[in-house]
Amino acid sequence: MTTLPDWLVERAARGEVPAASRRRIDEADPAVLAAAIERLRERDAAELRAHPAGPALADIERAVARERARRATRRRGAQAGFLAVAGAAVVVVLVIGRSGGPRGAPDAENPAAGETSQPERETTRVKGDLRLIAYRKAGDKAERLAEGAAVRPGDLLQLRYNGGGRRHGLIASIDGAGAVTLHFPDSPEAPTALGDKTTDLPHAYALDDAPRFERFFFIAADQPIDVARTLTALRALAARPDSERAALDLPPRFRQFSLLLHKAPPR
Amino acid sequence: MFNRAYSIELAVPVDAKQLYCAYGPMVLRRCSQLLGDEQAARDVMHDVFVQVLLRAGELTDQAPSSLLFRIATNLCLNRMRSSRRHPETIDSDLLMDIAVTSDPAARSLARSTLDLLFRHEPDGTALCAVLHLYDKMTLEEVAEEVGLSVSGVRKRLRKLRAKLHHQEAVRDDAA
Repeated sequence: MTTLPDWLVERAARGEVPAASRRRIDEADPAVLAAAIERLRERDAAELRAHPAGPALADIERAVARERARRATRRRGAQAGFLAVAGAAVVVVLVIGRSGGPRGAPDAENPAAGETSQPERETTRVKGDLRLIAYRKAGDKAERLAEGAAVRPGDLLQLRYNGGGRRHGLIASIDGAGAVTLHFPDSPEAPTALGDKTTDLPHAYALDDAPRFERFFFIAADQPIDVARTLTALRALAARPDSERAALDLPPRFRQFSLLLHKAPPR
Repeated sequence: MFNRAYSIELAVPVDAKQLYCAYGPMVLRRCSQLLGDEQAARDVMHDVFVQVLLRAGELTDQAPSSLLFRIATNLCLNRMRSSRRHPETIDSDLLMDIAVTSDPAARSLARSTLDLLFRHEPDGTALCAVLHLYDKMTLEEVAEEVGLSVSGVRKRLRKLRAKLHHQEAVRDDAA
């Protein structure tokens, strides 16, 4: 049995264990981990009793306001500077143009003349963790739903995702009635290519009255994903009695992220 | 099963008080662990939350604890760098702890590591090194934490090790 490092106990206490560390948590002694989390919570409470959030936050918010004002001033200064430089550049170009001077064409003996040297670029494709976040519309705000959060029929959910550097992805969900819904791509025939940036699905979804749970899957890979086969695997999972928790059986080249939401009765 | 509806606005406002109460003590512990001084840790914790509130949009994309941990670590490293420029405030034992392994013979290597980390290495490499050497994260955990591939992390740490060996060789030649 290995001792968990402090940072991992902190994450476990907040339900934010990274995917790469889940095995360490699974292999830890549950009683030891629970005791460590309890101690952390007691320390959190003691710290907030000794140093209440109010005064510290007031200081922080003042500093944030000052920094925002400083940045805004700097942006305005930079814009003014840019306009001045741009204006001067126009004058210089006009003068050089009229005098028949160099027009910026590459020097035939030194084609690289005028190019600035670029630092060596990082060529590693950045790959982080997959992220799939569900938000629920709450009045005029969007509320982020944590793993295990309770949702109700009629709740309006929006999904946001980031493939963590993988080129292809598929988002689908299964529910307690055994239904499978494809969210991305738009249809089984559509390409599964992902962008580099965090993206919102173009539609929100209103939950129906399927019982027990909604479970979302984000599956990603570096090669195109066979949507029909993946949906078959999801249907097989949805038909199992333990579909709420069971693993989705896919080849190891796929990375998976699962988000489980519990279904509460309608209000 | 779902019914499609219109897209909803995802500009999620950050509740600063909720964030502070949920994560403030964690950030303070991290800063205290690295800096070994409660007042300095409180100062850096203040700066961490200023940074986070200025970058509130990023919080919608990731677990806040990971983002706060990284910002806290980077700000502590910055603080240590500036402390090194003012020798009267150096806590050398603490600095050594950052890179020292359980092997006492690694102490001189650790000293070189610190010199590289604090004087010459870019922030990204310093963060990877601290997470791996001090926090004992695996390469996969570091990669996930900093948003790089495992090979990207390995490459940075390999370059760091190569520089260390070179530095050691130069020192041995001089001796």
